[in-house]
Amino acid sequence: MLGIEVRHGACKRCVKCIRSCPTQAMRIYQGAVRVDTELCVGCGECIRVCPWKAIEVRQDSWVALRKTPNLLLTADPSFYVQTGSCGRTGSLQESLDRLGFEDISDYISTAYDLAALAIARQINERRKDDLPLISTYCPAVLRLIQLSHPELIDRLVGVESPLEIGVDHWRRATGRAESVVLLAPCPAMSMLQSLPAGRAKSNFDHVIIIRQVIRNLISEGATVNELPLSFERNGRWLMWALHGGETRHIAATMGRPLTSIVATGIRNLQDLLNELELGRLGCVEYLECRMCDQGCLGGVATSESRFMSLVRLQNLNINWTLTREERERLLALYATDIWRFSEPIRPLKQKSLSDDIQQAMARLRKMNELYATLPGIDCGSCGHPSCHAMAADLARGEGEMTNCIFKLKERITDLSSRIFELCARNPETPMSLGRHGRAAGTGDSEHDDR
Amino acid sequence: MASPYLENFVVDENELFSIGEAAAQIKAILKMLGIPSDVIRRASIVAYEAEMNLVIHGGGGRMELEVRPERVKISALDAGPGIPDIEKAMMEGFSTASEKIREMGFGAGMGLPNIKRNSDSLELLSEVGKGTTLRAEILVKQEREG
Repeated sequence: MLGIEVRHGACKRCVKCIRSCPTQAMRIYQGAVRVDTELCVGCGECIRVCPWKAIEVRQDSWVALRKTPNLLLTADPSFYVQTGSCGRTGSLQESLDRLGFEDISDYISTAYDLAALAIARQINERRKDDLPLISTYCPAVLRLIQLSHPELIDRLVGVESPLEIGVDHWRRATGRAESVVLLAPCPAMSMLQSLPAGRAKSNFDHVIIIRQVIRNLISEGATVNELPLSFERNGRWLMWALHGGETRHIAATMGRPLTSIVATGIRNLQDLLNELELGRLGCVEYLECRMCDQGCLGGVATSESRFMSLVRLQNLNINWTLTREERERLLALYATDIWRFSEPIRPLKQKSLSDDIQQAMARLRKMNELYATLPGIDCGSCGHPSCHAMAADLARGEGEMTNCIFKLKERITDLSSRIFELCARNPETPMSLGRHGRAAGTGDSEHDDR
Repeated sequence: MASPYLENFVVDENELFSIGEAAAQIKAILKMLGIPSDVIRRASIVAYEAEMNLVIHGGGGRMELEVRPERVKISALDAGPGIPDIEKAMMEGFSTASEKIREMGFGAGMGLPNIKRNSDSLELLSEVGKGTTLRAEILVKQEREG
């Protein structure tokens, strides 16, 4: 299932979304926006650019879920810095407690420590030539690699999302099996539940977006600023919401500096992954990649300014050193392999011109011919994200050349000159012929001297 | 036998900073054609290294892509100084790149060995003072699973 939902009634077909999509997963077809489920990575770019708020992150009904008894809520770290003043995070957890949600964040924060440890070990155990490893924390990045850089799949670090590990840990430790709801900051995290990678089924039964919950809590008068801090003792996991936080956590676990590149935003990611493919990133050990600017707190389904949440996170007083007991507990957990993907990460099928190479070659020639006749301004008004994508779709037999307004105008121009030409071709009639049976208006008929 | 898919790319010697453009185009074409990802990975490395050689040593030149369902062929042709000792040039770490090129992080002497490692057959013809022609082939073996 997709991480986004289009509200067709609100859509004005302005084509901004289809042009913004980094994987060209969107089209406007027969008057409606269509999203290719296989190509959407859940980056949320379309949601950011839509002026009509016609695209939303897919979520379940908060109104219904609130009333469900025995429901557990697990929030992405970015949730906890959505409110509060500088230097203080309001204890949103306590607001949730009052609504009757149980707090299992101890298990989740342990899972983040465990993930950092497992990643550190994988980096240390890897041959130098096969570094850097790539973070799998951002589900949008993971999917982008499966889709556009399948060559790099063996560079992905084999550690599951700590949010999933945390619920596994809680289930094993308590033997409980109630439904768990994920509070997600973006469509990709929503897809963690509906379209999991590296495991058959997600631990999460429902997804609600962070903005929805925060607005609801505030509208009910939650006085989040005045509540005491509850995460002072272990805020390490919260730092994963900020770019660089994961690297910091891994380095703290290693007890040595980690040579890591932190890249956020689609353009940086594409450049970085291309450089890695060309083997240019020697001596780098880890790539912390995040689809959103600033990291998860820049997610499209958060409610607070990403700049404010950044300030709050930076002002947290984080204790990066584990106590001896914490460390021993962690090593015991590490031995259970709870942190591993249970299934291999597989490449997603590329969208080629045809499954048959011979046919694809013929279509590529056709596509080049068609592309040469298109205007090349990528206006999107044909419903395809670019002239190039339109030529590819046409070569596949999808769409009409006259969906291009330039081509349509050419056709009309051709047609009107043809009409003009046809109009000039009058049949000969007694009126058009002269009195003596000769064509009128031929110049010399008026002055016939013979 | 159906005709192969052919494409030509001009590589300008002054394009040291936009190097990799021909290689990127070759990769995009192979993706559109549905070539298996492992073959694309190897072909991209071959194309990139060959393009580098054109710029660094060949004084620019031309690249050719020829795709058949069973193999991908990448050629790089230049009219540069040529390679006096091909065997030596194939050795890892051997490079004749200028100081300026090395300062920019290129010319580590890994280009040709890298091309050899990633191709199924490699042909290198060179004449001093006339130029160099490199032809590398990567065989397409159908993937075990989608």
